[in-house]
Amino acid sequence: MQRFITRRLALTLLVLWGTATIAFVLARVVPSDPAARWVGPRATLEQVEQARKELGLDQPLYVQYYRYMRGLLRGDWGVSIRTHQPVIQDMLGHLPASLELVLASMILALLVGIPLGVASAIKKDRAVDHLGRVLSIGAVSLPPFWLAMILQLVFFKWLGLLPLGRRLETAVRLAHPLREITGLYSLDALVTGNWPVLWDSLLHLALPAVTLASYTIGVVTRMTRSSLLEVLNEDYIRAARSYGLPERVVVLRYALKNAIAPTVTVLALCLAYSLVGTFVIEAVFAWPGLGYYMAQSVIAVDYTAIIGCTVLVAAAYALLNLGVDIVHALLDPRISLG
Amino acid sequence: MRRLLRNPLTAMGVAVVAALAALAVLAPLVAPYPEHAAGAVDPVHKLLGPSPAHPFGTDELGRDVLSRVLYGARISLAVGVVVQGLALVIGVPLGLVAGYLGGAVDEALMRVTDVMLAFPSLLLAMVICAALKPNLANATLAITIAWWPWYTRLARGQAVSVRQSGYVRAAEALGVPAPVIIWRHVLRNSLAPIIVQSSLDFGAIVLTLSSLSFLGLGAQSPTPEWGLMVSLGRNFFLTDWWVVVFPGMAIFATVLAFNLVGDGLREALDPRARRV
Amino acid sequence: MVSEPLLSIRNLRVQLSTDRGLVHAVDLSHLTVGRGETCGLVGETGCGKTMTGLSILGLLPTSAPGTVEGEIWFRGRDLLKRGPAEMRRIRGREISMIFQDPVSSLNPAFTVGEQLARVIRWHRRVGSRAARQAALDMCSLVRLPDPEQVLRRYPHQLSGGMCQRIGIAIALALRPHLLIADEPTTSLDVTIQAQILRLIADLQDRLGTAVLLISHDLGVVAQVCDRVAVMYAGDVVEQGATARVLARPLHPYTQGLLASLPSRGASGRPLPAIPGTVPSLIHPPPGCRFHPRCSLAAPRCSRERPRPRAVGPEQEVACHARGPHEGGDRPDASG
Repeated sequence: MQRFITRRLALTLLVLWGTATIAFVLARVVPSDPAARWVGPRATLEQVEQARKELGLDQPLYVQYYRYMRGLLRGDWGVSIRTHQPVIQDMLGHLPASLELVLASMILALLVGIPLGVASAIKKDRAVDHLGRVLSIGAVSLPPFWLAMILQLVFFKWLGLLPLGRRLETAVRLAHPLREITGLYSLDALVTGNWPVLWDSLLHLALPAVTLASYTIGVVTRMTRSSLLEVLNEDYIRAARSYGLPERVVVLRYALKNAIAPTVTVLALCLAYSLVGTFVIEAVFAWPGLGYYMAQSVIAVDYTAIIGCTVLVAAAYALLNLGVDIVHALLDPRISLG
Repeated sequence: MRRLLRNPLTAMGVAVVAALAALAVLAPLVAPYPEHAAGAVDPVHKLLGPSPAHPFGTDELGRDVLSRVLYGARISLAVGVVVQGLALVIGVPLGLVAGYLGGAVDEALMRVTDVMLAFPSLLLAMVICAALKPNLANATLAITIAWWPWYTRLARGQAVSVRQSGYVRAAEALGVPAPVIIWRHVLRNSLAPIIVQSSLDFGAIVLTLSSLSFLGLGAQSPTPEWGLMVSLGRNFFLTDWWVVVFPGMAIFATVLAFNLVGDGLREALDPRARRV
Repeated sequence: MVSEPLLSIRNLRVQLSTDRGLVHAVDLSHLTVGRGETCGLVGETGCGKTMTGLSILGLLPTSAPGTVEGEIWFRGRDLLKRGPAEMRRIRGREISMIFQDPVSSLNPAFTVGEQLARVIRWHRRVGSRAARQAALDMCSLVRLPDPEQVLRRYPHQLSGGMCQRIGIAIALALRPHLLIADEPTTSLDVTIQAQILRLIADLQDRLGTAVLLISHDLGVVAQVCDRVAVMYAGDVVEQGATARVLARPLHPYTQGLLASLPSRGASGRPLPAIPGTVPSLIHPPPGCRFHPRCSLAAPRCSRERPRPRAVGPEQEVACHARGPHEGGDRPDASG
């Protein structure tokens, strides 16, 4: 057990170092001159030279690499070329919006995916199962940016039920100022009892969250179905039935508890996938999160911001995987803790 | 094969893939306005709704959306084939060799793939595209770079399990050289999962390409790439829905078809999946 | 007949559709288990013993959809005509089962105490404290040492023998009329096997439970069973009082089985084996299913399926070569 965790930690460190290095290499291949962008299009040659010195771009590559790595470890992730703000500050400012979106989509995916997967497994090869298969494969095949626009078309343009984008109506924000605690508007509104903002933030959250959840719903449904089917063939399920336990106890308590582990694993992978999904979806919904920031940075060829976001997302991905592995090892009673 | 087509959904997927391939090849013949795919504009007829003359309507420059969607099939399928081919050619031999030889080669290669796979593939492709000049060729290159490690992983896993089997042990004991063993036994036994994965991945590649183009990191105007068409239509779609709906539907149908085929292949080829 | 038997199976046919084709898993003309009696069901692996046991409970494998025909009479009801809800009330409460692999028959994600208590709570509708007390009582009944500790363990932390004691505790918690024991000792060490068999026999005496003991091991059956039924390729070929059947086996298959028991063969000589192999249940041989391997096979045997008939007060056999003249003179036992 300890050996397993040590090995996993070492691997995660290697991955973190590798991603940071790849991000650095890629960003330094950028053909456009960051210094020129820093000072803007009207700058003189001297100003560009000056900026080059300030940004350390005149140093040999290995010195830049050393400084970059040292900065990463110290929490100094450089200054955004586009906003002239420290990248880490920019990212932290945009993170809560993305987090709110990703969490909402995960909750949605679990609420839809697990019941649908369970229903498909119980009614294997029946209508529900076929419908579940079509829905789940369809859900993972949808281009998220297109789904987003279709939903806008239907729920904003045609039905007029939901807003087009952004996190809150300006009028609501002004009328009911929100005290921010976590930066997750719906959560903050709930905690502070600010009902108009809660309602408005949920309305704004609905379409982006559904779009982002679509892929996860498909994956969770398929995974729940297949692992539940496998578990339902186990001896202990037959035994539980032979004791006369009702089907709902057999399936929902005995089988599901054993079948849920693979679902948790894919859920962590989906979480990471969703972080990237926000790059595309936040652009459509003008949702001011990390993905929006990343997309803007890419367009502006803001290399410090691109590196920052890349390292952050890759690190989140690696740590999520690490977390899942460790949680598995701790939860599975079959793995001895000795 | 018969088992594969017995499932109506899989059969539907196969039919759509075949139709797409045919339309892509025959695009110059079936597209009503081939010149619109190449970039010719017709501003007089801009943003017309679907009609017999323009079944999918026209875009903001008066180009026939149907023609551009048909030509778009050529781009998506071609990029899919190229990426898939390169990823297989690079990834599979590396994985087979790593899995068969084991030891330091294996360890080093697997750590490299660990690092590569720590990036979600769209993110890696995005960063590469941003670093290079955004265009279709670079997008293809970027997706390939993000994709090959998956096949190395898959092929290695297969090679490791096949290596431990009795017949490979026997071949080794008889002094058959390693390349022959890899070619004859390991590759042949690894084929089924690789085919299944390729089919599922083809859809993902098409989706990744369109996402890159949507973000402005892939194909550039006037290329009739589906993701780009959706992206360009963003400013008009609330009033002129067809500029977005049809290209997006083409992406969806393509990805869905490949996923259905892949899912059917998996059930037909993987005896474990069939039993449950 | 003095009284109606507890369990009476008539013309049971179980067919399962699998990838390779339709499997005629069970084609059983008749089998009975009396109240409080121990009946052994013996046969080679794959001859349909387990399927017979599972059909009684209405629990055919979900992976292979199948059909079940015939009659299974239990306490005056035909179980094959009961609805799912009624079967669920019968399972556990009136008929219970213990399985071959005790460890994998317990849910790895719950402690054994939770599993035992859940069954008690569900059927008796009692609170958790009462269920816990009942669980502890059951543990002492099956002679588990240190029950408080054991109930807090997960199945993988216990030995196979302990898991089987838990399995027996769960199966007998509701004092069922019939316990189906499917190879309960096969996966256990020899010393533990004897303990578990003694435990089952002892509990049966105390609780008055009838036992259908499914085993491939004639030795095990000889130790504990009042009656024995020998099964071959889906059908019972011979059944009767254990002492009689073992002392004077009439069916050629029973004779072969007995002759291949190590204790019966004289030491130093190779054990005789039954020639041929177990027939495929996808294409079972026509007529008597044993005829391809039978030394007494006549032309009639490949055409006509032999019906079981009484060959004495406590024995019946299904074989053309063994007529009523071999034993007593009663024409038919099934009447």
